[in-house]
Amino acid sequence: MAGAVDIELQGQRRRIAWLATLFAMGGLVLCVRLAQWMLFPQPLLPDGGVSDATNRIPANRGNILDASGHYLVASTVSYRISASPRLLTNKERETLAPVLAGLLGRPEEEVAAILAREDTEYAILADDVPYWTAMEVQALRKSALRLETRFGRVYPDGTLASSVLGFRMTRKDNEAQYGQEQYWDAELSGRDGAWRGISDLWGQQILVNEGGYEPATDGADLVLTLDRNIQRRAEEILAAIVEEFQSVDGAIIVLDPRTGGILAMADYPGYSPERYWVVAGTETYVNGAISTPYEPGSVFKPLTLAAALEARVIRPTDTYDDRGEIIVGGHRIYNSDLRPHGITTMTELLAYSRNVGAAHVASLLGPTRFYETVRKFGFSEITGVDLWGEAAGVMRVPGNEYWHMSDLGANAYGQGLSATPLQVAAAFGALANDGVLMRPYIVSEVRTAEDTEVRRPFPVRRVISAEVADTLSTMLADAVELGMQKAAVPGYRLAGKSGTAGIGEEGYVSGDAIVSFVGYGPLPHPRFVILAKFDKPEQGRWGVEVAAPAFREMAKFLIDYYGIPPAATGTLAQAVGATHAN
Amino acid sequence: MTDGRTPTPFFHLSQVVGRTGGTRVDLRRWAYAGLVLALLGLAGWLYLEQATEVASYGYEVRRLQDEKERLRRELTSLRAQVAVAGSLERLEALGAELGYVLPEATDPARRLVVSYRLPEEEAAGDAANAGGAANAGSADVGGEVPSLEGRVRGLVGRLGEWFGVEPSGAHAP
Repeated sequence: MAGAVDIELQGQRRRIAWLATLFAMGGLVLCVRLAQWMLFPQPLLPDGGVSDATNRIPANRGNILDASGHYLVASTVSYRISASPRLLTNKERETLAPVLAGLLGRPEEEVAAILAREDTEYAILADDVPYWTAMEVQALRKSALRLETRFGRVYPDGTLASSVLGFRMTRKDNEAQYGQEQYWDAELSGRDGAWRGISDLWGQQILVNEGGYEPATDGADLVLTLDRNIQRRAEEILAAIVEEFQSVDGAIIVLDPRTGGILAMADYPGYSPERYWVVAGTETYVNGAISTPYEPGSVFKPLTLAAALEARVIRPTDTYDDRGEIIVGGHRIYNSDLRPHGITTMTELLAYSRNVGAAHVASLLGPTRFYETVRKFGFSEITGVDLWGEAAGVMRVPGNEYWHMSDLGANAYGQGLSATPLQVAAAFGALANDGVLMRPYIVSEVRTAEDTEVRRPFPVRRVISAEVADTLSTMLADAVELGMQKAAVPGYRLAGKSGTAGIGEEGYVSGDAIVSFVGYGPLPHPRFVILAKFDKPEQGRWGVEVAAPAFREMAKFLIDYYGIPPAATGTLAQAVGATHAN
Repeated sequence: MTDGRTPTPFFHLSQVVGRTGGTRVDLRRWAYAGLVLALLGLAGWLYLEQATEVASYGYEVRRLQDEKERLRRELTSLRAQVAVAGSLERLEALGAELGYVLPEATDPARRLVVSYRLPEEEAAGDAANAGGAANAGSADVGGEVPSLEGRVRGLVGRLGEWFGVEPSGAHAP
């Protein structure tokens, strides 16, 4: 009996020993595994329901503001709300339909019909849903409803400055096109962030690894020199004159001559950047003020005289005998009215736009000095403005294969060469700025979250002396009062010059012309340069007839906008008296 | 002890045969084994505790990031609303509602006529007056009382300024 008990005891002990050994081995395995997890780097839980998760955090595109801080373009967020109808029970459909209809502003029947669809996993309920509405939908906490974020652009002033701003192709990869959007795309875009972690069985995301979160860097905001009030007025004037004279195209530029800052740049016709696809053709996107060179015509004459005055070839009081024609380089040049005018002063040359006089002055000056000065004014090279798509224009100079001495005579009054409206405006800016050419620019500040880059005005070079600039300004102001009264504003000294040039497309097209007026003021301390240009006006033939009124209206607005008193010297009462008298 | 047929497990039950013939467990050996297991268990528990805490922080961080992104989007939407609210069209509509009208540019009626001299003119005028006073000093006692003719001229000048009539000799700028 005792032997049997001993045998039984021995069996029990053996079984207990085996069990203890098994537990010990299991514990050991667990300990080894724990040590492995703790001491050695492991791939993040690759198996089971937990999986790697990487999310892109989109950066907000920068905004574009005008000089006074008003938004011209702002980024916005909207949502597409969709549903997976199959995931909904009939009861849920019945309760959701009226709620969603109320939130999304759609008829309840339509929403109910969408939610009742059994044939799809993805049914769109609404697009372009504002943020707050989307959050209300999200608060319903229905897994069958899905929110997709859409980043867009909003243009508070509609078509305002569309040729300057450009657009983003929301229908195709959000690619930036034209204007500021394209030129400053890198700065505006910012840098997307990323989030790397894991998702648990329920799809909840967990950040577990160091450096797994890289925040997005929003794009920089651009502050422009452009003033939306001036821009608006420029576009109104442009549209009115285009309509009145039935012009095909047009542009108005307003510059600050002291800095080169662009205050307004209107191009006709404009378009809506929000609906960029609604245009007659892609040429509508092109900013004609910087991208389309044209023959400036007689607005070039002051530059010819500036070169001659600087070289002391002529004096402001000089006269010449206008015989109605002159031969330069074997080419006969006529006045626009084909008539002689006898003894003519330099101011009269400008006031009545005598081609013969300009060619005469250029002949006295000679090609070397003429082209040297013209190039110093910035022609045949881009101005370097911070806008996409600037053209340089074309000007043949001595040494070029196709240059001929006759070019000198034609170039003297702005024919036979091409320039962009911005180049012409910048050149007149040099006259207004004591002879110093400023680089035109439109972005004054680039603001990021960290700092603000202030972009300073950049003087390119001195073109003529301050004395010559002052003399020429006086002559141009006299010329406006003498022969271009349509550009004059009573009580103010405005300097300017009109221009009319044929359109050179395989020879000059008879009758068609590009008319313009460029000027600045008020003297003696000009605050603005205005260029107004119109293509192929049907109701007018001359710059002084079509473009000068646009200049005057713009100048009147600016004088009023800046609160410039009528006279720089003298009592205000005197000045007002003078205004009344006029 | 075990017999020769049965393999000995790693942890076997040591036994000491006592005087009564019963068995006695080797407590020291079992205590070591228990200690090792306890330490390993503690380490495992600490690890699991840490992992759980990291995971819960991970959830929290993720929640906060979501919140941050939500706020960013709200900020973007608010900016867009500010942009639209400040549009020229809306401001003009509001202005029209309030009865404001855009004035005619350079309308003389908008300018307040004041007898104001620019500082440089003031200085030049003072210098001229000082010179005149010095010259008049010998003739007029005190030199500050203007003659009747001067008074009349001054009055006429002021009236002219008042009515906006250009004084004689002045030229339009």
